[in-house]
Amino acid sequence: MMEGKALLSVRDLTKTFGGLMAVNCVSFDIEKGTITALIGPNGAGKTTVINIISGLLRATGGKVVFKGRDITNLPPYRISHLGIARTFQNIRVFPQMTVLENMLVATKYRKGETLLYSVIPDRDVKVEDEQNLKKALHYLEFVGLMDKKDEFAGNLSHGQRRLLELARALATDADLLLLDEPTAGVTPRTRKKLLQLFTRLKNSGKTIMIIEHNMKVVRAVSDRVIVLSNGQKIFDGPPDKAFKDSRVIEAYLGTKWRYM
Amino acid sequence: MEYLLHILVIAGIYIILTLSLNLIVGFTGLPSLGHAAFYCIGAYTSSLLALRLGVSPWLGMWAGALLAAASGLIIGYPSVRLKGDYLALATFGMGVIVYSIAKNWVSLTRGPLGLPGIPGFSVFGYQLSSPWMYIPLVYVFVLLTLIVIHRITSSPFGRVLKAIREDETAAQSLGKNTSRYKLLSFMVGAFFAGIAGSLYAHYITFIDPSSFTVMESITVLLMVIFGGMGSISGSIVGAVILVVIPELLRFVGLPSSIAAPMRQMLYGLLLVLLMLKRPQGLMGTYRFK
Repeated sequence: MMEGKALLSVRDLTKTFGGLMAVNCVSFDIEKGTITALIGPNGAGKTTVINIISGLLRATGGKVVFKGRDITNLPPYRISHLGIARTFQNIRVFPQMTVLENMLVATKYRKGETLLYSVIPDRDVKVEDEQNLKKALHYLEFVGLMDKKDEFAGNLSHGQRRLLELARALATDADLLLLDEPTAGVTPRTRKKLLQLFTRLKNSGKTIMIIEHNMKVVRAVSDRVIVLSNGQKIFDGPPDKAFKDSRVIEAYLGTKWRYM
Repeated sequence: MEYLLHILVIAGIYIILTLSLNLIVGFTGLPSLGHAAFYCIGAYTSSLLALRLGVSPWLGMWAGALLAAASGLIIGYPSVRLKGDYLALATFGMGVIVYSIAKNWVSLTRGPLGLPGIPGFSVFGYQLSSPWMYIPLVYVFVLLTLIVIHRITSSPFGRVLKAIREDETAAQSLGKNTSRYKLLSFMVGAFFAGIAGSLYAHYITFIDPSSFTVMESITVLLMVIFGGMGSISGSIVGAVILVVIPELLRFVGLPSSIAAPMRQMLYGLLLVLLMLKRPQGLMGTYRFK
């Protein structure tokens, strides 16, 4: 019933690694213009879910539908073209390229990235170059890394790399951002900045799904929380209810704590 | 003098080989141990066309380069799906296979006997025969290779190649069909190695499989690493130095039975020193991860 409206629908998603059931029949919908937090204890299968949606892992079973189109097991680059971008838990910037080059890799080229037009000069490529440069600088400005644009990405601080990864994901023109622990290991100041950016992105119509361990962050930005435990969805609803739900508390703290 | 010019021609051919391998190894980050295979295919194709069918080297060279690129596609298609060490092994295997074909397909290649009497290039009906005539020819192709590789690596296309070198998974999730890019990089590298092979064959006028062993691939790889991976000027410097230095040994007056192993030892020593003192190569900025 909701499938028509949702930007992303995940249905009975299952992934096994050998005998291990990493994700077990997980289903959810994500509405356009919302921030959904995906939480759960370590090993719950959160990153696996994002890896499958973004095409880096093949699903064992189930379906992923994006903008009404079945994208299950498409290669990652096709999924990116359709409008899904992601960041990584263990940051993956291109260390020996400048910040600006990192950004430009993410922008779309129709002609400039073909072998033929890399050798033959062409006016369209120049136009593409200018547009993409403008876009790259725009998003660098957005995350506040403008002054670092000529620095090698490998020389950035941890927090700056997180910001760069976010800006790079945005430069792909994605509608849906899958952010895997974007605030892990950053200073409180950068965390605050990231939270503001998430809200601004949401207000500009982007849809965000975020894996997060910091419950303050979850409370502050998410419209909805999905809790995974041992590969299964155990809760799906508003954040204030999530932390009162007995199954969620049990998953995080164990049964003993229920009686306290 | 003749000898000096000869060294210059050989250096030019190695510059082409080194630049083309650098595109694959240094810019795209694909470890390849089979570059001599493409060099071999270029050399044999253009020589056989000239000897058996009387095709002009000018045409034969492009045929050799295209066939090398095509074999790059055939061999690369399964190989680019492999990562790191596995890709290195696959390309090593490819080098061994092409060498074995050249050595054992006797009815076509005359096997270990080699192909003597390969006609040289001719310009307006005038046969080029001495090293000084080959210098402009070879260096025109050095320049062509230089321009093409420089343009590729400084374009958005080249930026994607570098991104693949840095982090393939990230490049994929930013919408780049990395297998395709890797394959194209492989094919362009193979194409120019084919050109180098053809230049070599028509210049020396004799080829046999022993010029295209896996050791040859490793020598070219050394030139890339020596000059600096991902550095175009480095490829030129690396190729020239590693061609010239062993030649200097000739003047020390060692008997040839000692000179040949000395050359290998000197290569090894130079590389060990370089890796200790300057792991990114003479001109490079990119380090091994």
